[in-house]
Amino acid sequence: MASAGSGDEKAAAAAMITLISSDNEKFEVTEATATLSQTIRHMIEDGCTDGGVPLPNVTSKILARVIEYCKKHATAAAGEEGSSSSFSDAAFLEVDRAFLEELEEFDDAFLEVDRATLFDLILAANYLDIKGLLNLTCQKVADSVKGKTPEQIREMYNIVNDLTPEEEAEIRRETQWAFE
Amino acid sequence: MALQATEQGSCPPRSAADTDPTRRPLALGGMDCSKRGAVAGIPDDALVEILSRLPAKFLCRSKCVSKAWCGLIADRLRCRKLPLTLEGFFYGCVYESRDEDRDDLFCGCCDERGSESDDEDGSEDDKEGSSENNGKGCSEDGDGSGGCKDKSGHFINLLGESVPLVDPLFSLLRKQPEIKNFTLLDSCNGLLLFGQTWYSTAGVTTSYIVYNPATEHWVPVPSSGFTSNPLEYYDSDDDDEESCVLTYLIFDPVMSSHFQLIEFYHNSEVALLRTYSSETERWGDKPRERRRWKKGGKWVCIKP
Repeated sequence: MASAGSGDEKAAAAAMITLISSDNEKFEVTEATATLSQTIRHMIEDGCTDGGVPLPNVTSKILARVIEYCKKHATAAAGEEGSSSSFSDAAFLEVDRAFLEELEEFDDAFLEVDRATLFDLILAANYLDIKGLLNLTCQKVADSVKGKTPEQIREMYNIVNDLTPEEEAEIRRETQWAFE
Repeated sequence: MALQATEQGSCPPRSAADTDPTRRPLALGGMDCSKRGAVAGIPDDALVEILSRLPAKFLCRSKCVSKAWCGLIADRLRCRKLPLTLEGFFYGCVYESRDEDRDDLFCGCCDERGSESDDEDGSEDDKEGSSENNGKGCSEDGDGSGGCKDKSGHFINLLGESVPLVDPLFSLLRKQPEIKNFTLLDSCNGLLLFGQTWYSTAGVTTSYIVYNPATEHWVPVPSSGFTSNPLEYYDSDDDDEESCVLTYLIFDPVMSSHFQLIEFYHNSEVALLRTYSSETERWGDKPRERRRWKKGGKWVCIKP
């Protein structure tokens, strides 16, 4: 881990990307971290990251969290690559497992946020096209919706029911099995 | 995807989203004190991302949440993202004696030619199937190798959940006194097509059952009226040179809640095609198409 981290930093010194949040805060990240975002990866490929990448849709608070996630997962990816060459298969598997467990713990802890932050993270992940983060956050919300009745979902997310009673009855009739 | 999020904004302080009264309190409040929801402020694409991670049952329930949710879930373009998870495979779904050489994934993999004994009627827990059969390829090499004697359905559950979402034994169908000798023939977008064979002195006729395993609702479809010569039927070893009936189910819930059946029949002399629509509840009115069948030809059904 530690060695992977320092190796990462060395390589990164050559390619740092500056991300600029909507409230004009600047974040310096390694290219490896930044390219977890497909959106930024395309920008880098197109060579339009000089002078920083403005992200007008992401606040500094959220961007900081997103970067935290990307750093961890970029390190994980780099760590895996590094270890595969220097360990025997068994040792590699051991390291691999420990790594995955650590990553899972990180993800769990990462999701310990209030709902507003969670939604902002989804929006940022969606905008920045970070598959892992989008999956993680959307799954969290989906899990909270799963098993809830429409009434409970409305209450949870304060959604106004604009269906007429007739419309709702019709939908319920059509999807009767889902309510059984 | 990213574009839409750009337009609608995540939560920049000076964006339009900030002035949206449904959104702002949540941005400030915590999980419990937020009296107003953020779902309204979330772009549809992100909401679809969330919905696409719901199991089908809860997704259907969620249609009742609001017009917007209902619209999203029913949306033709977006629903491509919604769950299409491969839950598993049915195989060996042949109930009672029936010879069915189907060359597809849902093949009834039995080689039970001639064993039309009726004494096993309704024996629901009759499970002498060999589980080492993987379904595919059975009909190709089943002949002469002893095959397998499945009297019950099997379901390979790919999601690894302890209880499969559907009942591979189709107990409900088997409980119906009027349903006998049924074989899984086809599936399409969540519906299953079973064929029921009836043996008589006149020959073999096939009627159908269209079954929704999720809701356990079923609809009987009468025979198209075609009766095949049983000898001819059982003599179908030489593949496509002899007679065979192939029936396919066509169903797209987004286009219509009605299904259609297409029945192909061919033997060495004729090829017939008939269609059934659950809307009209009739087999095709058009005059039967009849033409000489060229040896070596083969019906191919291409489904969307």
